[in-house]
Amino acid sequence: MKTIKYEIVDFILNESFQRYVLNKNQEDITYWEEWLTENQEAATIFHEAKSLISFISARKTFPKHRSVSDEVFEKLLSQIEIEENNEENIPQRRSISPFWYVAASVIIMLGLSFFFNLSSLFYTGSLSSQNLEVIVPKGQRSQVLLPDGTQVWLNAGTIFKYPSNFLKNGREVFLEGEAFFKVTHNARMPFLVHIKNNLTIKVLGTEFNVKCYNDERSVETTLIKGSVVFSQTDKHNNVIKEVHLAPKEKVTYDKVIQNMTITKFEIPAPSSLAASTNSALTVVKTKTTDNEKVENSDQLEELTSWKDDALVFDDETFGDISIKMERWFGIPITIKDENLKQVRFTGKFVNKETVYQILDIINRSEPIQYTKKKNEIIISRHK
Amino acid sequence: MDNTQLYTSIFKYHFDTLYNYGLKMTNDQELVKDCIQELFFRIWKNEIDLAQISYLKSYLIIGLRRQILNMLELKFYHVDKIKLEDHFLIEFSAEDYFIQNQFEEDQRNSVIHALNQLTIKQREAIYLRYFEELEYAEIAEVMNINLQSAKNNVHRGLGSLRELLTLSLLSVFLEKSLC
Repeated sequence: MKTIKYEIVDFILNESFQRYVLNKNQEDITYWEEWLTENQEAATIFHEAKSLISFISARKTFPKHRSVSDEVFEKLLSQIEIEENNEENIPQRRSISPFWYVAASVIIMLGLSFFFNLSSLFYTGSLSSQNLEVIVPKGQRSQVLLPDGTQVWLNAGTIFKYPSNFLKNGREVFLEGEAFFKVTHNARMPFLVHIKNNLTIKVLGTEFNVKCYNDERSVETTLIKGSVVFSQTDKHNNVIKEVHLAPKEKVTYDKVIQNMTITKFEIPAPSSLAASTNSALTVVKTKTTDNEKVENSDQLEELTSWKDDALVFDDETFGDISIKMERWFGIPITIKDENLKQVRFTGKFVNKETVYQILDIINRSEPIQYTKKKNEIIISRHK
Repeated sequence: MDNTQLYTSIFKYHFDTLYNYGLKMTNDQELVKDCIQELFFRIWKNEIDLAQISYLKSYLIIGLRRQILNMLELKFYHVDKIKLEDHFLIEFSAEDYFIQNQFEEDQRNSVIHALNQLTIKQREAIYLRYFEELEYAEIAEVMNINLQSAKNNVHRGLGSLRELLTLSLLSVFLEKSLC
């Protein structure tokens, strides 16, 4: 008779053996019981493997939580009861329930969080409700229509949250990333956009753009129409700084030095207009004071053109551009050359160019080469 | 609410599983309780037809996992979601084994110690496979990985476990467990 030397690993890694120990499948149980009677010489190792697996799957010893279960169940029942009463009292509720549309591929999650937790960071109040959460992955853009008719465009790599009882307890949303808002006017109910770093934008009815990506140093709010108040509060919700924006103004908040700068977008004087026809891509920037800048009003349009699928680089470094493109196209981009990261480009892509088409265009003014590696683009200087 | 009875029995049946899993993610008991309540509230309110869901247990675990991540994200809202997932606490503790007293305490502790040496993914996969007895497809779904990775995590975990435990220790086990 031939003797085979078995290792314990042979057993514990065998799926059929695992099922046998877990008592899952009669076929496996019969098989391994028979196997054991025929291979008594391997019994020691067989039992070792069996006891190791049963030790790991200490199912019978699982803690039971009867009283906790009852406690949570009671709370659940009263929560449902309250909800049902609310629905009866407000028969109109269904007709104004939030409806929102998003691109099919965008991940929507019914946020399972209490707005209360968020609220403790921004304001005090006993507001408690579920959050609705729209997550736009890199490489995609989306749109949301809020129950009050406010339209929101969401740029790539953005998280947007609002409570399911939006409108019932005021109009408040939470943003991380970039969004363009067209807020429905309602003087009695201000619209609040909460951003990290204790920043809040207060709005009555207006059009504006907010850019607040985690991986960027600054937060930008650009007002197109109407009026907004951009404010920073401390832990206790006391306003530290606040800026009232007029149309065609942008506030830039630097997260590091906690400083706000206003940029005004103006129609250029005739002389500079003539100059700009010669080189359409040159940007006129004049610094008036430390905290105020003036830019050509064309730039204003470009700040919000992403919602119309235009990708714009405005005298930005290749390093910043690669981050923007990574978000826009949803593909990681690495630049291998430090000097290359500092080269500046200006351009506008409106024809839904692919990432490779854009890199080819960049290549015309700066010799670069790129390689596609498994879901990643690596860029280096062309030798 | 015709489904009240159904929801009630599902709640009672799966509560321990969910509560234990939640406590492996965070040790904040109140947070886990709130999350389970919200999960069922949502199911109840939206009248989700649980009969249509093929793997109910993993469906509930996924729901709870998302809910807890969401809550943790809001609580530590400056921490990236991805980083939070890396800091999963799926840890094996002596309490998981307290009834298995046929093993001496120090032997029990060495196995628990060995289990906690595994990577977090391996630990979670092993936990789901052996504590919750989920199928590999369900583990893949819960952990948001593909089927092969789910299998690999269980297999590699068991493999390293074997290496971490000395044979002699296992022999002692064996004697005790055969008694």
